[in-house]
Amino acid sequence: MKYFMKLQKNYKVKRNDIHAYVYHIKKDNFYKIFQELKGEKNV
Amino acid sequence: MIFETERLQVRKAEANERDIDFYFTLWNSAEVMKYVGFPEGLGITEKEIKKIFSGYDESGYDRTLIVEEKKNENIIGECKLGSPNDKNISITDVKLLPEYWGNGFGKEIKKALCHYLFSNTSCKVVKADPNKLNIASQKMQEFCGGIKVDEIFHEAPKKL
Repeated sequence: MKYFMKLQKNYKVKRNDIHAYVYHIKKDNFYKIFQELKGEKNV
Repeated sequence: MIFETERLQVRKAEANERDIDFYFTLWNSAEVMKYVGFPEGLGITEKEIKKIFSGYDESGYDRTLIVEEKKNENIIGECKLGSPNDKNISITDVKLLPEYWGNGFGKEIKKALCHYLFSNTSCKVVKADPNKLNIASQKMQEFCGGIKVDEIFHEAPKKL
């Protein structure tokens, strides 16, 4: 979203307020869910 | 190619007609861009898109990447891999053309982005800030183990 927020300075187009949630995905939690991926270097 | 999943492949965008046409459609789509504060799309031109591409280095990080279907190489969307900051937090982004919504592609890409960052960089946390109205994006975060930690509000500029 930040990338597009920067563009607001460059393009004179209609804008709306943004109300957003912030999510964090922690590495440990991710691999608890996707145990099959643990230890793999690449996708 | 940067990485692939079961149905999709991710590569760097190129300044050719096909890729630029895709970004022109995606970034000017009201349906897609309303969630990042542009209810009528970005209003960006092909020339401006080319200029953005010319500023990228060779790295696959911190730039827009093309998401294609493996079976037919149709471009379905874009994604980003953010470099980890000094707190080992990376930002990712996924945007798909509306005609590809509802097929689980977003979750497939998000999972791959997280795995790529966790296994190839110092990233310990992947951060995202989906619009409160974008339920699909929130579900995508939760699918990957995302926890809601805060709310933010960006006020639109008063004058154009």
